[in-house]
Amino acid sequence: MISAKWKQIVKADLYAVMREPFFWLILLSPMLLGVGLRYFLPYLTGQFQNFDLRDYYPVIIALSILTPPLYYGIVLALQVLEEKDENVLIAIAVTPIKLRTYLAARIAVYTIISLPQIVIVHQLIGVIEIQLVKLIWVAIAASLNTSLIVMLLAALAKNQLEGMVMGKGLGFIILLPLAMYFVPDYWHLVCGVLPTYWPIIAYYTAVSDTGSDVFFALAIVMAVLSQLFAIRMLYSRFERSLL
Amino acid sequence: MDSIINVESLRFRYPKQVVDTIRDISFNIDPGEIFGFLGPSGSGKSTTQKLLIRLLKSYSGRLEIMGKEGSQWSHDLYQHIGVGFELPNHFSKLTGLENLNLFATFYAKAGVSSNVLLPMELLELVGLVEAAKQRVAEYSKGMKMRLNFARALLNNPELLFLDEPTAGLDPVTSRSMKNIILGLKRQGKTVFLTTHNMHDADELCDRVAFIVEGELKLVGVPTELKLQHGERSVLVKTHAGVNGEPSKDFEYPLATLGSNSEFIELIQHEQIQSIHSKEATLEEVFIGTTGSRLS
Repeated sequence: MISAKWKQIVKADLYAVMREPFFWLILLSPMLLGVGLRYFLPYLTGQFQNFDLRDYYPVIIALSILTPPLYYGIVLALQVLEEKDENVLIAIAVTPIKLRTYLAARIAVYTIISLPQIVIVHQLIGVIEIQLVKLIWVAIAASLNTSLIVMLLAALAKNQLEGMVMGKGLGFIILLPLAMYFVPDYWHLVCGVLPTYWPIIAYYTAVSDTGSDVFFALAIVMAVLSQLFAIRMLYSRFERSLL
Repeated sequence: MDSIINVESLRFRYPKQVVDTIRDISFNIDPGEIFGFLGPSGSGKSTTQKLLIRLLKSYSGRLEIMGKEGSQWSHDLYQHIGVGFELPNHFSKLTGLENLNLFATFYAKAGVSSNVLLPMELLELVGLVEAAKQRVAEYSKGMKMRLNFARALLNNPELLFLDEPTAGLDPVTSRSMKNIILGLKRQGKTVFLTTHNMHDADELCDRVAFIVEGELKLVGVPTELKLQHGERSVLVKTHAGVNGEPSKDFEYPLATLGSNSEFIELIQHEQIQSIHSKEATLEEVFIGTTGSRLS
């Protein structure tokens, strides 16, 4: 059973989001993107005579399914940065709840909400077939991006304004591994250090005719481990930045 | 009586610094005492408070809080203490009441009866009932400071840390906050008060400590310090005469005042405007002891 403590934390987050229309827009945009692409992508494909856009569907869909964790991560990161600006996190640090637990609870909520959205956005677009089990594994791996983005912004940005600017730049970290679709295999090693690389590779493997189950499983494990490692490192930096 | 806070030879240095911010300080605070910690900006007041409330954890020396060494306290320490920060720190998108309700749940313990005070009662105590359902973003600085104070009392703490509790408040609200602090003392609470404000310290504190450049220069009872550092005499001022004679000042030693015939004659035959003893102000004691000014 969820304790009163967690209910209040979720309620407070809900209030904060409800009172900021900009946040609604960000949170709804992955679903709107999914609906839009469902109709727009087949139409666009039909417009090209000498070029088959379907060859690039995996890249387009990979990008689309990464939007829920990216956007949910940005919304929560902006709230955390606002709390950092307002010094409210220090006020929480001197209560019996550990700051780490408080943040983990909120990140968990956003991650859990973003997870089914990854599956829903994929199925809404509906142009690529994938085994549901594999899609769920990809969603689990990709949803950790939410936590990573929160910690990345919260640890590196000094305030909300910097967070918003950095949030825009985060697209690069996500887009770079997407480019692996177009480059020779040896380049993959370079991008392997980016935690966002592994969920994307897992997805490419799952939808490829030649992708092996072993490599898929390895990519999922690497996705989870690399992101958890990065989150841990970033949290230490974030905690130091508070005092 | 066991001290509620016992600090001995405390030293602290921030990472990457070459000198200690806190240099070998020692003091103790008794239960039920209001203890004022006074010093100019950058003197080490806030660092000492951060060490006491365990926001800073590495130190050398002894730092006992409620009979237990600081490093041995878990997060459970925060069930027993309340902290009012110098600057307002709230969820600005939430109302005052929502802020307190959220923090109140942090103190709840599964299976243990709660010691938490009701948020609405606390808002009433600090005069914010009318603004309870107003978003904190719309509060004035004074209202936010009162909310800071109310939040520090949520868990009905035995030991309260207050950092500049009257900063930014108008005189009426400041008076009411000081009355609440004195009320807490009557309930047996201990208060560690960090302040620049000598008048507040003088009025509220049972004892004060002066800290300058990380060193504790003096610990004492305000009334005793003022007497020790003042002159043991009274200053008598007479009214101006009806014929345009100016008012005059007369000074007499306190020790022999009762048998001083000149003084007795003066108060019998002259119109007296004022009589003041010449003890020092707390600010004069501070300057005399530390060679520094508070602001």
